[in-house]
Amino acid sequence: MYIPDDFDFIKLAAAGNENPGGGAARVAVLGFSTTQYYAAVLRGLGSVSGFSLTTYEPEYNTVHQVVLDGESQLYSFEADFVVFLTAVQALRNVLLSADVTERVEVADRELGELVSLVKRTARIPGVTVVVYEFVIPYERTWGNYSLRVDGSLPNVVRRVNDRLRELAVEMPNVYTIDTDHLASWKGKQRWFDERLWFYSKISCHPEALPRVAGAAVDIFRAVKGKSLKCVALDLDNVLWGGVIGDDGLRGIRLGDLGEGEAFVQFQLWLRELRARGIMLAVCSKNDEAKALEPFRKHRAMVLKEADISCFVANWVDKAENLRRIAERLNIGLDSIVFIDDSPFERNFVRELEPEVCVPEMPAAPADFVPYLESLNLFEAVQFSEEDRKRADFYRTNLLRRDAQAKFSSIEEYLASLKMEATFERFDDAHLPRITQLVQRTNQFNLTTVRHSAEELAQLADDPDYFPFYATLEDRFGDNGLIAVVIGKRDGDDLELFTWLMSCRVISRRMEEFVLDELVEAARAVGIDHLIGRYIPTDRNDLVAQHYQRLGFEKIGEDSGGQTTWRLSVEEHERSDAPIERKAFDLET
Amino acid sequence: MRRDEIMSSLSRVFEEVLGKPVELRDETTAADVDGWDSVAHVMLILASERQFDVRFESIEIANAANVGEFVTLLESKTA
Repeated sequence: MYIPDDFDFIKLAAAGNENPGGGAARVAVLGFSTTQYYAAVLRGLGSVSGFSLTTYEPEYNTVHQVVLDGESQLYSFEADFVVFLTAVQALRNVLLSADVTERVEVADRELGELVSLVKRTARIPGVTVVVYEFVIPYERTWGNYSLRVDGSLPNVVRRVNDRLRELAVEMPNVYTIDTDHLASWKGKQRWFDERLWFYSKISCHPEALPRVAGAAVDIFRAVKGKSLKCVALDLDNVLWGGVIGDDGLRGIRLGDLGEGEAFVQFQLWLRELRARGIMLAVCSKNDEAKALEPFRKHRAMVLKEADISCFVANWVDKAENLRRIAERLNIGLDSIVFIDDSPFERNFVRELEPEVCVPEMPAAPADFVPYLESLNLFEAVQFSEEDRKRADFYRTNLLRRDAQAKFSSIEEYLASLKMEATFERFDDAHLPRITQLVQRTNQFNLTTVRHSAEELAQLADDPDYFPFYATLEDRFGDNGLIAVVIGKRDGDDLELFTWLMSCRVISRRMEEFVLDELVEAARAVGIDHLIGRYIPTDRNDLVAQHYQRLGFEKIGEDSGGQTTWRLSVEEHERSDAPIERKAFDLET
Repeated sequence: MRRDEIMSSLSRVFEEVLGKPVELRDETTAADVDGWDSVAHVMLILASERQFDVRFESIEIANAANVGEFVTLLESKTA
């Protein structure tokens, strides 16, 4: 996360102590070390980044009691997140008390206890668990040879960390933090302050806490669907050295030794992000033709035109252009990070669009990548095929929009897309993407119920539930899994308590296709009516009339604007939406 | 550093850590200052280390009975 430089651990702790707590998430901090400093900085980070956190910290060294006692506050606190703040110093002492030949066994026993606590916590409904891995200790009894001795502290602790990560793979609502990376970034000499451990059981120097607690906040945000999705890039002195409009194709610095190579490194870093599913956009004050020239003609350019999901080069102000990018890519301004070497442009955007993330930038291009890496802007909570393709989805969407201009009617255009869709019950292979869509979708979401990964996995196997997903493909490319609808059978009714779709496929008549398939599935098991519900939020106005448009009859409305709708299965006729159903493809 | 310089820098450290201005005198103790608890104490020590570029052997400043003694300690370390 990016927070301005002058927020050090002292300011953040002070901000956290002043902050009474807020609504973005509730966090229980279970510590094997003192937790007050950590929790204060955590709340401080939350409050300065607009993600206000309420924390609960049990007494020092009561983790076991709190987790094992079902009546403890941990269970009544209704945590969204439970953090296990481990301390290698505590583990170190247990290990050193054992003979070197027994240490692996001792470590396994300690690990077993921790794992059972984590598992128990992860089963609390609605909870996501974040576990800090152990820092690899600095004690190397055998010097460099220590890594060849099974019972050496570094080796034993590494093994413990590997097992914690395996646990996270097993349990979809458990994440681990690479604490050793955090410690080594600034250096373990500064991280370990044994005075603080002996006196107050503080496990790292508090100056490291902004990064340590920041890593957890990054995960919280990602789990809550508040991640950054797009990097909007200035061009001159960001992707190359010099000014393309003045220096020309031959004059810009890119690709040779020195500065030119630094820009190549930065572009490689960006391309890696793109391959991960983070979109790249250009937001430049330039003539468009000039701005495109390096992408098309410069031999050393790593990024090509096709890597840019949305290319905006003109003389309009950058706040306006960022709004345009957000609109064209159909994402919120709060999911854009804006990279510009000009302090004027950065401050301008911060003033006009405070939702956009605008990190300071170092003066030297060689510092771009290490600096941006240090911010950990793009925390992932999963990585699926879908993520890899995302940047492509958005680019092909723009191609579709351009194609649309050639047709006189939307119907003609939709027919030309040759759309093919699948409609299937949930399966294991698609659960990660289904979970992601359920967590993230705000606009086309009728009820905004955020089912957890575990809940979704459970109802997949429950015969009373009708959990379906749909995918959509057309001649421009694959849109991936873009719709989730979940019904529950109640006698002769099918109650639709979740219906959501990705904004990628709005205005494609996909909702009609989904309804047609739903009705068929309902008819096959003798259901008479579908019951739909709309619960208004400040983001889902788009679908207020969804059920009406689909031919449902309104049967209820409460004072909060929540509406209930009914459709007769018998009377429903299949729509003429130009979407072919294709069979489930095992390959995908 | 002179005592009065140390005292005025120390006031800034207290203000930063406790989030409000604190009037410090030689005879001031933790009991006199709202918010100066054991957690704030450690933060005050660490913030002082950074402010004065010194390191205390122990963070138990129990041997400093009041602000005046703490200033004396800083005086000797920054001499």
